[in-house]
Amino acid sequence: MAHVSTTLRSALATSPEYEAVATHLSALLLSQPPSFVFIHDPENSRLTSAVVASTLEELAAQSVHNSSFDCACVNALSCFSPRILFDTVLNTLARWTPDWDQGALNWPGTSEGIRYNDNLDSFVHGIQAVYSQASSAHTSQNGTNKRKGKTPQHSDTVYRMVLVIDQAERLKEKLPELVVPLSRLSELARVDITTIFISKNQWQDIRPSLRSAPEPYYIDVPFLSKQAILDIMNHAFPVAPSDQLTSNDAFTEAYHAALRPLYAHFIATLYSTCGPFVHDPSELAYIAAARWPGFVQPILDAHRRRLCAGRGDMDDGEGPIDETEQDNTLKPPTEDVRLRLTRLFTSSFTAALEALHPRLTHAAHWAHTHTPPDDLLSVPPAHASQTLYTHIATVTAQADAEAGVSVGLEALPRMSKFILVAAFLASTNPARSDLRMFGRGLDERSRRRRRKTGTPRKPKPGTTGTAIKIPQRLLGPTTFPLDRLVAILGVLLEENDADVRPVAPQYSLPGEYTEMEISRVALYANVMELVSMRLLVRTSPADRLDGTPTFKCGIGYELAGKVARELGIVLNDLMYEPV
Amino acid sequence: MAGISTMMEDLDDPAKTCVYIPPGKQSATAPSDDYELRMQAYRTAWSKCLNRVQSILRALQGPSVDKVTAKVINAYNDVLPGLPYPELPVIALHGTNASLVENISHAFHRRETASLDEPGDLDDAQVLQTHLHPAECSSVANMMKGIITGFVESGSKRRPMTALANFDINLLRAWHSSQAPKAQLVIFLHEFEKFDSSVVQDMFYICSMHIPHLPLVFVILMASPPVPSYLHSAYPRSTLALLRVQPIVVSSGPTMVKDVLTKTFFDLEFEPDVMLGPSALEFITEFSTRHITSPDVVTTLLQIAYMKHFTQPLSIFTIGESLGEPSQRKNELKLGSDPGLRALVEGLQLRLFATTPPSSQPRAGSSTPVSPKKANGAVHGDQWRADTAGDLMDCVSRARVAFRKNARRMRAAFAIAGIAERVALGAPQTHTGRSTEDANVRFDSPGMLSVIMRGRAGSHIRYVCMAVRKLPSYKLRELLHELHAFLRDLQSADIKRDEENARVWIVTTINRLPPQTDDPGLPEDGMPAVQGPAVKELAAVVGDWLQAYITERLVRLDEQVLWDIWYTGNTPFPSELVNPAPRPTIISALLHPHDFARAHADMARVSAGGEPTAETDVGDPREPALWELPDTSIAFRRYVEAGRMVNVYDWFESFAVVLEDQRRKLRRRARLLAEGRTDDGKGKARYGGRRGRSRSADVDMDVDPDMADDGAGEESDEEELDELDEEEEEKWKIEVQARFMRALHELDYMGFVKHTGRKPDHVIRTIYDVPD
Repeated sequence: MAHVSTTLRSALATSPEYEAVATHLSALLLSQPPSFVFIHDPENSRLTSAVVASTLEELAAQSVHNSSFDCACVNALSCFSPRILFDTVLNTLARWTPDWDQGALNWPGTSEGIRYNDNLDSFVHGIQAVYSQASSAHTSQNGTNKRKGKTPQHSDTVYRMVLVIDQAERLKEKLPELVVPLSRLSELARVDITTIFISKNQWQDIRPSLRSAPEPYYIDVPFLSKQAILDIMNHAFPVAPSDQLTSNDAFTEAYHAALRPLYAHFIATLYSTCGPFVHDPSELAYIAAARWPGFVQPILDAHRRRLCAGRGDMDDGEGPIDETEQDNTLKPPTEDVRLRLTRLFTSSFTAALEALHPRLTHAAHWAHTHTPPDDLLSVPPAHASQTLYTHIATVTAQADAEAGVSVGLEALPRMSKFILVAAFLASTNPARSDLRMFGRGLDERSRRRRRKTGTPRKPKPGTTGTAIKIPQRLLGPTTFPLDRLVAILGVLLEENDADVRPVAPQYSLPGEYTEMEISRVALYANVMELVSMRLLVRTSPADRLDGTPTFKCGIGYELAGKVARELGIVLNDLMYEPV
Repeated sequence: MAGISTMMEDLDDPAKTCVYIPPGKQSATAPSDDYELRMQAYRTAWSKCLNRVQSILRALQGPSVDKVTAKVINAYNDVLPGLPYPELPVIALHGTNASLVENISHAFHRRETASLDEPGDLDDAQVLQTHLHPAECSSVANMMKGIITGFVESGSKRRPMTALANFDINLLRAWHSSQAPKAQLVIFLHEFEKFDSSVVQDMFYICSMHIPHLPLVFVILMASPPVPSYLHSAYPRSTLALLRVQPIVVSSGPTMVKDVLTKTFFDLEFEPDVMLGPSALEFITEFSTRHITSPDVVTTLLQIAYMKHFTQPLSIFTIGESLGEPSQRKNELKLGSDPGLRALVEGLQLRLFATTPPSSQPRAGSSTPVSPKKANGAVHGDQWRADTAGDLMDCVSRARVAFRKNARRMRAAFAIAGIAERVALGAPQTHTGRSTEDANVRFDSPGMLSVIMRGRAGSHIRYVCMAVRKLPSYKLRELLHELHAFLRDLQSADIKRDEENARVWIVTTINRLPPQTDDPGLPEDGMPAVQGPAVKELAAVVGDWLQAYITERLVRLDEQVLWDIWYTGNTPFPSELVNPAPRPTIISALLHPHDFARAHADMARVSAGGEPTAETDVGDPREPALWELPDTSIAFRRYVEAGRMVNVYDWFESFAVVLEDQRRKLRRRARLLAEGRTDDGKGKARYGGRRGRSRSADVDMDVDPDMADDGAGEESDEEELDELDEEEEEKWKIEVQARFMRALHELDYMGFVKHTGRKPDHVIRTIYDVPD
């Protein structure tokens, strides 16, 4: 259910923390399970649900100890309506796959035309129908096993259903009316069904008031230790079939069995760099997946070179071919090579973390741009790191050039840039300071600035200095009406744009040209265009026609400064609290 | 008149929400014969130009479309191994426009139909697409429903309630597993910034749970630039971690404008029927760098420039001499006899007389030939003499051939100058837009186009040729070979014939070059190349030849005979049409209604095809007094003088004072008129029912005659006469009130008044600093 790759999923079961959870759960389910279990994992609930799902699948598959299981794992987020929840649960419990050619019908139940997804009541009936059908099937099937099994508790086999709800915290907002019935499902349906909630929140945050839900059996997933994370990641090493080395795909051959010991070291180094910031094994595995192909590429290059050399010798010497077969296998790298690689690539781990953790780029792209140059190991060690950096720099530059010349705000039209700067100022400066800031000429402004920068701000001698005002630019943008934006824009245009714009002899009065410019249609169209780009954020509702619309600036100080520099505006002179 | 009656019907019809009231008088807009012909010519010329522009734009978008298609096809093929979980492929298109989306969607559609025709071709992976817009995705259920019903063919039969819901993604899965060729499912999210981010978050999560069983690919269309990224600012890390976002920036902006302009008007492969002049080119580049850069805007601007050109009567001859008659003889007859074309013929003859190509006779001033016929004959030797309609036609035809030839030569020179510059000065720096001065001194910069058209590129040509003279031999070889390749690969036979001499010259020069083996590996050395004496001499020859060649051909097109048929010249671009300033226009119209009405009448007349007649220009320089203005203007003047909050009663009082004045003045005039011209029984003084604008014209007309005795009125006499009886007084008061209400409502409608709701009888002004 939970979308985790198979290797990682199998690796999870090996860690002691998750193993404890799995054995705990299976022991419970095999004996007398409570009707409602709550599994709380604040950190990696996704992995926990994968573990729970695989445990249940195993139980359902092997049906030991005379008990057979059917389980349904649903995600509360994907079941945003009761109908989907009911359909999914019943279909999974009944092991029914809707067939498109048959009209995508749900599990039909015992008789045709019964609707189980209408409301909670019909759902409970559906559960009962599934149970009765499945248990009768199981008893008839296990009739012979029963005699041999000699169960101590019961003479009959136990049939049990398990319903797992992942991301149960989402139930509270999506389907709050179903939290209590689901937790009391076995009571309502009077069948042997266990409901398991998995959540990253605590039960007390999900539980509806009035104590109408039963107290669950709690299982808390322990915090993953460093060793556990390393173990999980080591086990998740996807071993490629050894004959894949012959294929040209550099990425696939990176996961050769011979490289596994190196991978363990690689993971350890990676963890030492990224561990303080990221704990999620899947996130670490993501970074590892991006870095590993580049990390082992020098070894593979060296290996291939050796192969080629060997083949070349062979062609010259006309030797037997079967000797090359032995040479063909990839050997684990020596300790010396490992240290060299680690030294070369350690700094790139930080870069990978910075780029990949916030997903500024995706792993495949990062891996592509950070591929080391061919045959790095043959470069003398003293120059290797230099070669690596220059190569990566050129590849990155190339990728940027491919992506397009105009990347950021530079491609915006000139007027849009002016509007952005004006919006930044309107969002940062207090409105009462406008007359002071913009009501005077350029020369006066720069004089003020010099004095301002000359005296660093200190708390006054009399005061304690605790009540230092935090600059607005750090507090986030404030809203401003459109009129104010246009007025500030007028000042900016008059001071910085007047000598660049095309001549217009029809405007004779000083400032008349600017006055006309700031009332033109294209300007307002530009404002709306910026709003649609989310560089300006409209704070008033879009459908309100009367009254002036209000906005907020969508860019920060750095970007605003960059745009202002392009226009030749000294942003600091215009800011109430200069940086 | 029929138009007016239908208009009145429309106005009375409560079901009509929108009624078109044509400007100006109805009769003026009746299309004349030559108007129709001109519009026909316009349609031909513009559709030719539009096709060209569209094909250029399509070619510009080609790479982006291919990139998106490739990424969609390979979305699930080249996946990095070892990832902890499969990622949902998302292609983020930044800076998109409608036409690009259409092209991409069309490319997928083609693929869809192609693979239907010949199934089994593995290389042609099938792609199905659906498009979602923010309005239909208000909730997760709606969004999922949009996605699922977009793919699953609906309509065949309503599924029973016992089947899967149509917003359940399991339905899509059931459908997809039943399909024989497993198609990629592409979902376009239009205007991605407007989607509710919490809805999209959940949708991404749900979809990510079903990959790779469902090969979903998302294409999100964003207007925002990639930096600062909207995706990263609006969506949490947990959502971003599910996606593999591949950004693609669509090339647009200044490069696009430059390409469109150069390839439409300065490309030898294409001959536009109308050549844009420097001011139009300047405006288009300026507008697109300053305000809005989008392909649609450029196309619109070009279209307006064309439209403007075809408001000229002479532009009837842009395409050919045909006047809608089948034979040339009949056309000539029509030109000679049709009274509707009289003005056209006169204009044409005047133009022909005035034409004096400076090359043949620089001394003869083109502006004031004393005796046109004589001067003309003397100068041109009867070349441009046109006494009959046939001669006129002939002149136009010859002028067209000459103009086209010159334009072609100019384009060839432009292309060659571009090549020379590229080789001599190196590739242009990337257009970062850092400094405008720097950008202007290249032939391939948009600013250069207008400079060339103005004939002011001389210094730059000299600079380039100077650089050519200093080229080392390998560069010189490269230059000559490129020039030769350019001339050899010309498509049109005409141009090829024209440029035959240049080609021959270049071939002979190439043969004079020292053999290639003599060159030491100069470019590899990185050392400045040293010119050998032979090379130096040759380079100088090449430079001289280039300079002569280019300067000879880069002539000003507005020095040609009858140039304004095919060339917009220095006519200013009608910028008010694309970028008006409504608020100041309304204010100035309210402050100076008469000027405004006059200007509007002029515009209506020009657009209807007539020349602005002289009579309108003889306006009254005197500023009209307040009482002469329409009611709304009077109310507005009073409004301007008020404070922040306006007491409506005071406003009314001051308005009434002006109206009282107006009534008195008008009565006096009526009396004077009655005394003076009794036969001219023009009843005035009642304006009540009429609208402001038409009335203002009437007032204007009538005010003029008794300007002089306006000041010297016998007040006592007037007061006596102005006494009204009680009934009239009552009526008058009601009229004043009604007129005030109407004026107030008009101002309210225009947004000058804001109602407080708190203080009774008061309204707030919405504008404060009103210029005079």
